[in-house]
Amino acid sequence: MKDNKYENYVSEIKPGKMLDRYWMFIIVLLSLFTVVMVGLIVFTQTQVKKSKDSETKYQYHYMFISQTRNSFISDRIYEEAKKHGKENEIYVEQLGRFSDSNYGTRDYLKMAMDMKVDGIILEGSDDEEVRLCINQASDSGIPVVTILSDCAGSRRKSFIELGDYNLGREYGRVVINITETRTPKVVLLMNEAAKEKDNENQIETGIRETFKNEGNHLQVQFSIQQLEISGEYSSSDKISEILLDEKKRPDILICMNEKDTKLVYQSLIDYNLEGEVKIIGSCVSESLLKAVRDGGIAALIDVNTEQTGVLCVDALNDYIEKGRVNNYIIVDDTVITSANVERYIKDE
Amino acid sequence: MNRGRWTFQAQIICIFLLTFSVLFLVNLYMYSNMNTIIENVDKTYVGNKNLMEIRGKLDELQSCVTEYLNTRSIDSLNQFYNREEEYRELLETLNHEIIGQADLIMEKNIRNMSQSYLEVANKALNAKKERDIEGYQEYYDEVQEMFGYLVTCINSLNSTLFRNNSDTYDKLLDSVRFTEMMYSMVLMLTGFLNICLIIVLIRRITRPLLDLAQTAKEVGKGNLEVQLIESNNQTEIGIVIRAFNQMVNSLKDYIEKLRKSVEAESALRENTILMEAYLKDAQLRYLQAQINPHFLFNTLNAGAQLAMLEDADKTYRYIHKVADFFRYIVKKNDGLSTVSEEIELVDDYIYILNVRYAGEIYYQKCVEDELLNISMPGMILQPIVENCIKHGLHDITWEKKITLTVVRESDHVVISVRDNGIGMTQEQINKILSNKKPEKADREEGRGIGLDNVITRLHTFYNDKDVIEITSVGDNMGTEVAIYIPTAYKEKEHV
Repeated sequence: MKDNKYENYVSEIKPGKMLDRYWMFIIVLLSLFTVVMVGLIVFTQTQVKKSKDSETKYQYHYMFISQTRNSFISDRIYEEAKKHGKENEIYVEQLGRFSDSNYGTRDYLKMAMDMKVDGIILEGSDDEEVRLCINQASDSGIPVVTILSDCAGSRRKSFIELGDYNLGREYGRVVINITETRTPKVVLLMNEAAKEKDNENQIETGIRETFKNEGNHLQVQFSIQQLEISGEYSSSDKISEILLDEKKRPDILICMNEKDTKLVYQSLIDYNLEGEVKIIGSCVSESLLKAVRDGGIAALIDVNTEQTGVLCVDALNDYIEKGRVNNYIIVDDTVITSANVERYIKDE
Repeated sequence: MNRGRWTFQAQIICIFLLTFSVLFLVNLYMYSNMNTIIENVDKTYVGNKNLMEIRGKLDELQSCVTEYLNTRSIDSLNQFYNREEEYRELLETLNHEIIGQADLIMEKNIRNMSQSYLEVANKALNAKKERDIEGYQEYYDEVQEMFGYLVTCINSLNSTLFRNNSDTYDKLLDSVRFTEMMYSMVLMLTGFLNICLIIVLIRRITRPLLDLAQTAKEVGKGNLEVQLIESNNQTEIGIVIRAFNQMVNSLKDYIEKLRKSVEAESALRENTILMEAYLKDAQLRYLQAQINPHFLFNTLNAGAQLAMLEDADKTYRYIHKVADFFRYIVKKNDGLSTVSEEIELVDDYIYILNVRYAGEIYYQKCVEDELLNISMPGMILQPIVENCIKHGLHDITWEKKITLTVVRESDHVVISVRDNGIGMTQEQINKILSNKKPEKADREEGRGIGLDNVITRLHTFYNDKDVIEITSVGDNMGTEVAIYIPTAYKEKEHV
């Protein structure tokens, strides 16, 4: 009888009772802890992944060598080439930044050959040793393309250039746009040695054609002044002569390179002729950009760096993959005036 | 969740294992991360160390080349080959893939340049061996140049690595500080979690014990109506709780049984006492009356003899009946009588009354002879008849009748006393049967034994509530009092 009572009492207890509050609390606590721990692990793993992101593998390795010009343009071209290369599994490395060496283009070319890179992008020069090195590289299966300036007579595969005729036309258009008189005196400063070259003549032709076709409402007095290439001093004298003679003093001076542009700009400051004589310069550099911003230089004309960067990488790709590429590839120019100079300074 | 099946010991072990596991896992994770950091710290300057080793080996190689080209010493040639092997082994540690990381690209460049250098160096040595003076000179110049480039590149990479390593070291230091802070927080969090877990689980385990202790305390104070703890816990605690509950329930059952037993005993004792009290009360009343009846009895006997001497038969008979009446009362002081004796008493009583009141009561009786010897309590019928006369027939104008019947009805002997008086309402009947009529009033009306006394004695004697029945169909329709004496009792008595 007693046993039955006990059994009855026990049978009133429901063994399948729902989770009590203790277990709910424990489950909530453990869940929170798990979430925090998982969060920490995910956070740590994300950090590790971030650090490994840069370890992307590439298909080709191109070397970018630029020694002769200012670093502004070449750096911009290199950045564009690197960016474009990355999109196409190509690693573009810039060589020529060893602070404790006096290596020249030839040395860097040799190094690049020793490094057995897949292609070389080179700012060309007329140096014979450079030409030989380019040939050596070509012999050892490393294609070389030149940018900004060519290495005539070498076995470089392609030259990405700013078309001289087009450049001349662009100079002419800028003159027409900035002139304040109907009879502007325009002087093109040309290096004496370079005068012999076709490219300078093509520039002159381009300018004249533009005046003729697009500036027929103007009576432009266009002349070419030869500058000595033997030394800076003589060039400076020549520029002083041009600027100080009121009868000869031009309204607009076109400079073909960075050195002449800087020289003319400094002379205008020295002779207090800012505003009287306008400069159309070449080659972009930090100091010249500031001069454009301050109004000392009317316009700067240079290659389109973005297009150049893309084209030099594409030229090497074309040669490696197809075995041929155009000898000359024309790129567009960029005109920097006070209207758009801020963008370049900001980019810088 | 079968938590109820775990033993107490298993639950305690589970708590420690759970908290220990959490702490262990967290420590394992922290240890693993710290190991990674330490490995990274170790790796920081490994690159520089390797490069310096490569640089040293390159210098040795260059010396060997120069020495051999100058002296054609076999030792220097052998040394070159040995160094070359070692150098090539070292080069294997450098990256050879195009990976988008400046230092790795530089490693690839150095590796390729070194291979180019070794090729040209071997060519120079071979030219020297073959005594090709122009050739070895040319190669030697080239080797010199390449050596210069290599050294420049190695130095550049070394500087880059050193710069990177400094940055990495700073980052590692930051990382170590961050990790230190994070681990402190994680440890605090884990400690907090463990404390919470221990508190919650210990509370969960000890809560039933505390409740049990509280309940036991209440039970100890004698409060058996305390709310018992329900538990589905299968641990030792659960067993103790259920055993405790069972004990409390058993205790309650036992106490209930004991209470009932005491109540029954008490009721029995009370019944006995009550019966004795009523008997004593009846005896007392008749003892009071006995003094005079004794004297009266002797006196009446003397009167009867005198009446007989004077030939006054009616007087003699009357006095004789009165004497019999009182004699019966005196004789029946023990309480037990027979039906015939009771009827005889009623006969005497009615005779006396008829003499007193000039024979106004018509008395009729119908008795089965075989039932005359049945035992029954004394002084039952006379009080009933007395009540009939006093209350039922007292004020009526028509002929007063009383009928006495004794018959057998299945297993009962029915003694019925019927009058043709004013009758009774059901309410009056109920009051009389439930003894609610004040005894005082009864006593004041007559000095005889009250009907309530008769009813109580009958109930007590036969232990049956239905032993007496009063019936009246309405006003002036008379009343019947019937007594049902069980035959079994009679048989028992006879036996």
